[in-house]
Amino acid sequence: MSVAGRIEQRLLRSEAARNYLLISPTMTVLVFALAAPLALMIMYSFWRESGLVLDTNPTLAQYAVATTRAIYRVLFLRSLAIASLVTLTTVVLGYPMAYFLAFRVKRGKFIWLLLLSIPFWTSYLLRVFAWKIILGYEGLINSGLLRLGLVSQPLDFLLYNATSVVIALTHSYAAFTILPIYVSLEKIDPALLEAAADLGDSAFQRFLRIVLPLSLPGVIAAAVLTFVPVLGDYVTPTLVGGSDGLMIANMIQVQFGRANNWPLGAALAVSSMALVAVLIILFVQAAQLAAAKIR
Amino acid sequence: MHRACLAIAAIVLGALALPFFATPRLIRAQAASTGTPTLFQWEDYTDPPFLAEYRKTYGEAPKTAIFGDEDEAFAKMRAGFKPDVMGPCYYEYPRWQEAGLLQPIDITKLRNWSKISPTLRNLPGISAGPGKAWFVPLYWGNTSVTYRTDLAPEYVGHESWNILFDPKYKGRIAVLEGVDDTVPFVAHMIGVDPYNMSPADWQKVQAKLRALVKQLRFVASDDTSLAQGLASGELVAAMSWRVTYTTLKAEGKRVAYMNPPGGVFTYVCGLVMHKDARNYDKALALIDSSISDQGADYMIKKSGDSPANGFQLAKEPDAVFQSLGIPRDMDAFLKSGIFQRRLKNKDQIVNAWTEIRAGL
Repeated sequence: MSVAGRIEQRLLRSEAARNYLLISPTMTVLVFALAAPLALMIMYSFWRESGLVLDTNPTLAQYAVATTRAIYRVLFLRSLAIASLVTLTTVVLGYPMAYFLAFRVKRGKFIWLLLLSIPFWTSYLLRVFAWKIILGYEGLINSGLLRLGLVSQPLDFLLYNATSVVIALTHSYAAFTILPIYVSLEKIDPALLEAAADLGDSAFQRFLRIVLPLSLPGVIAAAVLTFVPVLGDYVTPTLVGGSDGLMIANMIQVQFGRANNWPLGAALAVSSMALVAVLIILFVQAAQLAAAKIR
Repeated sequence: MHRACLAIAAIVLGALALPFFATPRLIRAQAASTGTPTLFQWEDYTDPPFLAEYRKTYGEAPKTAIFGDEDEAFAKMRAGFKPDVMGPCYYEYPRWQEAGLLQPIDITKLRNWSKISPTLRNLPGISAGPGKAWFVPLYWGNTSVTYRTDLAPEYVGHESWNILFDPKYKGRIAVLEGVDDTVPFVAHMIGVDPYNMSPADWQKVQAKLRALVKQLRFVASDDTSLAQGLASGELVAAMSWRVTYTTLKAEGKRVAYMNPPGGVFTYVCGLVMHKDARNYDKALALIDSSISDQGADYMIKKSGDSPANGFQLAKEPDAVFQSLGIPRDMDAFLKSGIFQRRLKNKDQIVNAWTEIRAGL
């Protein structure tokens, strides 16, 4: 047999090689579409740009600016606060919905899930615009209150601040929260609950000692799935945020666009990513510790 | 059997996908051979009336592409997009010229050049030598304050941009997002020349901008939100382009556009030619077509900006001038205003304005 034939035979026999061959198309796409641009962005964060000239001498100047200028600190903190609030609200509001779907709905679960996902069939942008119409000066809430005679002037604190950003984001990311929690609640064996009832646990105790700990993986997944994209959102703050609601991603967008300073934008982006990574790791560890304690 | 089905499915999908890969290459090949120019413009300015003369001359339709803001357009061209004729504004095109993207336009070959208002033809810096220009003016508009005359009656007859800083209207003011509009505006209010600012001047302007942000309800990137705000009464006054005023006036709202003693700002937008234009004569024809009488007529009726082609504007009746809010003598009016031109240290200004907007 030829050399090529022998190599081919050995390759096909090795399971690891076969597995790599199987995922190689996907890996190629991921490397070129995800890893390479990320690496390029990290490289950009060590460069400098002024006007039209890119200075590729490595420097930490951009990170110095990203960490020392007050505006970025303020925006990082504000983004963290908004993202945490949105995550908390979506999880707290989404959990009962998921619980209802998992335990109370007996037939037609698929229809319920479909109905739940209908808002997400429309464009994200249109959903945020819809909130502008609801919260606006001549919007749904204000017109209603005026018509009912409850106020004499339209309320102007509903829109163009951090609160409206939180409201719009909570609505936009609701499905990302409900579905993971629903999936993990679905997996709970009803026999466990029956056994607990037989052994004397009340409904509340059953929830606290069986349902909650077993659904924690789903809650953690939901929290992470909501926190990370919300932190990086820049469309919602632009549309409904006003001056109070601007978030860190708006600054990153300005650096890549109008301000024409890609290295600083890259440094801000990489810093955001690092910050989020650290927070997520801490959160997951804390949640798992809490779960162990409950058991 | 199973394998045959898979094979057929693969062939069908491949056949369906093939046109997507083949067509761009075919189009590019075709374009390269005939040199059909691409017009890269703001929305509204790629509409048929601007292309009519070109179609008549060459019997083909030019290709068009739209940009939403000039930074996006600049980034796109630096990344390799090569249109033939582009439509930046007077304060923006010097950056494109410095990046080496432009070539001079032979104005002696433009039939409609002489129809453009003399003031605009002689804008500082657009000449590239005798018979050549970097920039051909296409339309102009103003940046001033639109305000509700019924909600702020004390300013009728006493027009002043200080309405934006009036504590009575705190939270009911809006301004435009672009630094080319807002920063010169505010600088002019405190007597600073925005195009020649010393560091001390710039500090004063920043302080004034901070005071302005406290008054704002929001910062708008387009005039639709300003028009809606003024129409509903959410806003009492907004720093806006003239087109906001004409839109509201046409709907019968009680608004006025300020013409204060200091003069208003004028922005001029026009056409430039890419240095790698495929066919120089066709690109010239495209420019000629945009500044033609047909284009000017369409502009007056549709977009609310005023055409640089004064020839066509002069033919319009008085009613049109009243609805636009400009006097018959376009040249004198343009001379009395301040042209918005390129800001020095624009990147630094953009950074500072973004920080001030975020509340710092």
